[in-house]
Amino acid sequence: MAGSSKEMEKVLLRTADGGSFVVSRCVAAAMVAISCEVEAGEGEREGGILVPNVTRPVLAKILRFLHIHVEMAPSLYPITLERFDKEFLNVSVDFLYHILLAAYHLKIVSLRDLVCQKVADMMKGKSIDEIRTTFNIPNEYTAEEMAKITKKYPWIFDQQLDDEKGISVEKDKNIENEGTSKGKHKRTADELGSVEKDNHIENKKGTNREEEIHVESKEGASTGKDKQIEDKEEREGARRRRHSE
Amino acid sequence: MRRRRAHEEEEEGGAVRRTKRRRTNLVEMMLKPDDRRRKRRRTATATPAAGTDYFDALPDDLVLSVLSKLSSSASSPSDLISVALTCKRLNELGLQPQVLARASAKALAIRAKNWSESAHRFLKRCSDADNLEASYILGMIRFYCLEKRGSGAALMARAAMGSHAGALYALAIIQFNGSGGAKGDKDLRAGVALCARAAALGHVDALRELGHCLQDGYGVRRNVAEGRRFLVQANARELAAVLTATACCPLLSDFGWSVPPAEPHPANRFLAEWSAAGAGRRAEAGGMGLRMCSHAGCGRSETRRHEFRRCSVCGAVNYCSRACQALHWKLVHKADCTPMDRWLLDAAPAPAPEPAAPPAPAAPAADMAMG
Repeated sequence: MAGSSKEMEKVLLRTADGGSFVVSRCVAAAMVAISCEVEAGEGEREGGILVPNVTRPVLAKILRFLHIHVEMAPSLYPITLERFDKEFLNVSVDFLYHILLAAYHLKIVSLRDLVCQKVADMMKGKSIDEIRTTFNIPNEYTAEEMAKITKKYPWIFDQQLDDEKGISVEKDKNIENEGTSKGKHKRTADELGSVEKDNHIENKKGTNREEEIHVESKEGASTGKDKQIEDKEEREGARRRRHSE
Repeated sequence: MRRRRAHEEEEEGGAVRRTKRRRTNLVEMMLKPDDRRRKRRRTATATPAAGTDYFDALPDDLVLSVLSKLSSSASSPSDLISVALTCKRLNELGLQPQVLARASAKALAIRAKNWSESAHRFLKRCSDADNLEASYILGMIRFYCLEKRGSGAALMARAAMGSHAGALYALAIIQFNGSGGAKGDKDLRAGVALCARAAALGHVDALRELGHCLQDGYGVRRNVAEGRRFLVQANARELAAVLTATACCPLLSDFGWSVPPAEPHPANRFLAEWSAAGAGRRAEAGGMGLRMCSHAGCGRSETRRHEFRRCSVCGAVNYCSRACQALHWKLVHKADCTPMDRWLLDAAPAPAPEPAAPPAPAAPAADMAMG
């Protein structure tokens, strides 16, 4: 009981721009960066604890998050917490950025991971230019540089068209139970049609490819040997290599 | 895509509808003060420095954690690579081993027609960063498509040592068939051991294969009851996977016993596309007569003539493993399989479903019995 009443004590937190908040001790302790001060009892003093690197609105947001996740979490369904998290991070990119930095500096791991995942979700499904506009990333590449580096990853560009085609085919697959394999054969037949056009280019690439792969396969075999290998895999791998030569 | 996810989450919430009303009020209460504060903030302070590069002021390890989360939840290669192409810093950080190691299978899902030397190098890079999926995918591609058996198997072994269920199962099939070697290179016991490890990790095909091995006494002492247990477990897992994938809660009777096939792994999809594309080329060259596994989601091709076994009733289809045979029977072949003397009849092919269970594929029959 003594432990829980100590946790329910209030501490005073202040921000650099003049905000002040009274929160319970467990919430303040969740911010690992100031938890030592909380333990030492600084929060009960007149001036409270000065929380560095945050402004008033950001700290307010963070304290609300901690209030829900630390104090109210035991009495809530997980799905409620999930819905809260989703709604909680429905803010502007700017505010999100401030929350992320604050969570990082205050070392609140759960909030940091949550915001990182949110930012990652914001980056998905967008083209390069859209990502740049969303996050105000300046384009440092010239046109030639851009062309050069996109050439290093040619397989992502047809991807988006294929995924759109693929998604509609797969939706049909899920709806109809019958003839699923027929749908799949149809798709590969379509791709076969488009592949035949590039056939002669691929054959040329093929000869260059094989020389490079020969070097790379040697690398692969040696790294495999370096690691500790269980008996079965080693026996099997050795047998394969003997027979492939 | 985010819209679809939100919609799915709403449907999920319908299951707790009774308590939802109470909880909704709670959530609204929790959020209301924020909205007020947020509105105040928007009018009071203008957005600071509208042109600031947000990533610029973030420390490196924070950017790395964002990118790691991106790569582990990416649903296509472009999700990850597009970010790496936005600026120089993200290019450098986005291709760090720490980020590549977490790339999901879908982030590495390269299509066969986009295969190139750079794609090969990228996969190798991810594999060197200890990404198990990359090792598995590259191993499969090298073994079956590029026909580099040694390095392909070595890569798959690397993934298998990291307990990648798919790689363990793939190696098991190689052992069962003696792929890449002569017929006498089959090692049934090794295959069963690998299969058992994959099954212990919950791999559906491995569970099925192990169940059939136990029922037939193939590479392991015959134990029909335990084999049947594994087959039932495989069906249960498959159903559970499909239900979670479609994220809806139908009554079991809606599905009945015809569970739609799970989405194929990017590696299998690549193999299937490669073989489909290669079939044209091979026919021109007067090919070697190597067949493909008739299960469309598998994509494996033989490494020597008559490696795969065929359906003993109709002889028209071949399979790399019993698991593929069982699955294909359930999905497609049950309707199409007719005995070999069908050509004697001059009527147009109208395959009537065989009421009597076909003798040799006893596995599909057993599978039929339990669905």
